[in-house]
Amino acid sequence: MIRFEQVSKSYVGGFQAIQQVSFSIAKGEMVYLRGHSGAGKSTLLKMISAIEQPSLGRIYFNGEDITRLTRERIPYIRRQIGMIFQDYRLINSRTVFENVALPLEIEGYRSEDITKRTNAALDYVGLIDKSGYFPLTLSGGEQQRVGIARAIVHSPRILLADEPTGNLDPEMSAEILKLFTVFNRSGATVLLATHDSSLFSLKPCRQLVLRRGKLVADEPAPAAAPARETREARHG
Amino acid sequence: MAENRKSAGRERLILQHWRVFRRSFLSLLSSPFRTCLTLAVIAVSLAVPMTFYVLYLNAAMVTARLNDTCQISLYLHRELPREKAEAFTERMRSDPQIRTVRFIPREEGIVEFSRLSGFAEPIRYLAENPLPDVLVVTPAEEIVADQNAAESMLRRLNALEEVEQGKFDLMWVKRLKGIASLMRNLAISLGIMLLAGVILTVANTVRINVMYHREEIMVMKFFGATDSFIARPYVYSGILLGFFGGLLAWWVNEFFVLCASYIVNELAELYGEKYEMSLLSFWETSAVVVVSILLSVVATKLTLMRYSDR
Repeated sequence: MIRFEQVSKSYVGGFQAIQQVSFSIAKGEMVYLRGHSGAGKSTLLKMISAIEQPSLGRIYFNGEDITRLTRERIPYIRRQIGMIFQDYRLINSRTVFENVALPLEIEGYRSEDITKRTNAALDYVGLIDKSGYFPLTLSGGEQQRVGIARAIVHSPRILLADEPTGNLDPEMSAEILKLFTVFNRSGATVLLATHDSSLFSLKPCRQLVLRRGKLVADEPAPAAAPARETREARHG
Repeated sequence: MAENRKSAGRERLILQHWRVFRRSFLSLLSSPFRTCLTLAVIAVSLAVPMTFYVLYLNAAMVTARLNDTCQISLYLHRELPREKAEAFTERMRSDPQIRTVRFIPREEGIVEFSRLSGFAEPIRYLAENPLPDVLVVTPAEEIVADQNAAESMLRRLNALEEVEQGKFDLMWVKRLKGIASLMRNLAISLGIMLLAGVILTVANTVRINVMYHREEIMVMKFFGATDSFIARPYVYSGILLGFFGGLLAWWVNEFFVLCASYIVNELAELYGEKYEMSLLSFWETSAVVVVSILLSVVATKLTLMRYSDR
């Protein structure tokens, strides 16, 4: 589904956000991307969604090299991705329903399909009764659930979540994680960037560990195999 | 099958456009003060050159009409016998620089003067007719159009022995033409300046809108919105501002010209004339609205190009 080949990202001034990172994620996998603040997690997610371009290396999404995308092709890649942000990034001037419906509107769905799919997504996150509310009237946990509904409403192939529980209490974090797990069980790939190690104990699965821009560990789900050092062992 | 897919795609696109158009319209309504201010600036920027253009059109029409009636009056020597006057008339008719010649014998002249001057009674008591025979000469079109040629023709006719005096006052026509030309130049130069003003006004409105919705635009991009999808509401706002701004400009111009027409009419009545100022035609008005829309769209596109990123 996703393959990184010797990917590096440096910024003007020489700061190396990502250094020679290689790994691959299969379709339907749920993976934690772990690391402290500044480890390069967000940069890595941004490169998958073509917000940032790597300075070196190749990134493949569904077999397509997304480091060589034309500007016109980028939106069509992003439509296969659902994104969730730590700060929710909801549009405060739009209702919950309108926020969730946004990806469908972008893809040009018909009104009746938008209504059906948006209501189903809101039902999935337990906010169907708040569809007419504006985001600022909701709690943090509810806002994040709206973000999740928006990310999954168009049935993306992969869900990228950047610190989705960063602003939530442990109880709400567990709730949110449950939603990711259910979505993953339906066949979607989930890549969850977090520095919250408690999530791993709630739902153990493969972990990619970043430190100062380097992939220092690629630990498979506990039931699958023992931990291994970096992806070189995985891909040779 | 492929045909069905194509038509469904077209319907989808129309639906998307309709949704965005409606949202853009409502968004303009949601900030009435800002919208009205922008419309007012567009309207004034367009109405000023439009008004100068209308004034130029009217002045040009008046000068064209004056050109048609431009004549030289040749007052013949009073001692000139009638047969020589008639022979002179015939000679003038064969002059290639002259379009028409009308001979007004002194008897006819005094009758007309009595009727028009209001001095009929005193004229009755005159011992003899003091007026000379007169030739009213209309020069050829190329002479009327060329001030120098007209003046040299007048000099030539004045030099003829049969003519006591020739009169051909083109100075005020010349001045009117100068005013018309000034109005045209003002319309052009003000037009260019103020149309640039329209672009800047709309560009600034769009820039503020883009800055205000920056977060929203970013979120849209994250979910796969194309540049054209993001640009659409702003382009529609530009079209709506241009359209209503153009209509408002037409209305302002119409109002001003009607006011001016009233004043001009009052003035014309003092001279026993009636003058209806001509307004912009339907096509000219439509052109203004189209120009206004195009300028707004250009301004929107330029701003979006400046502020769009990956």
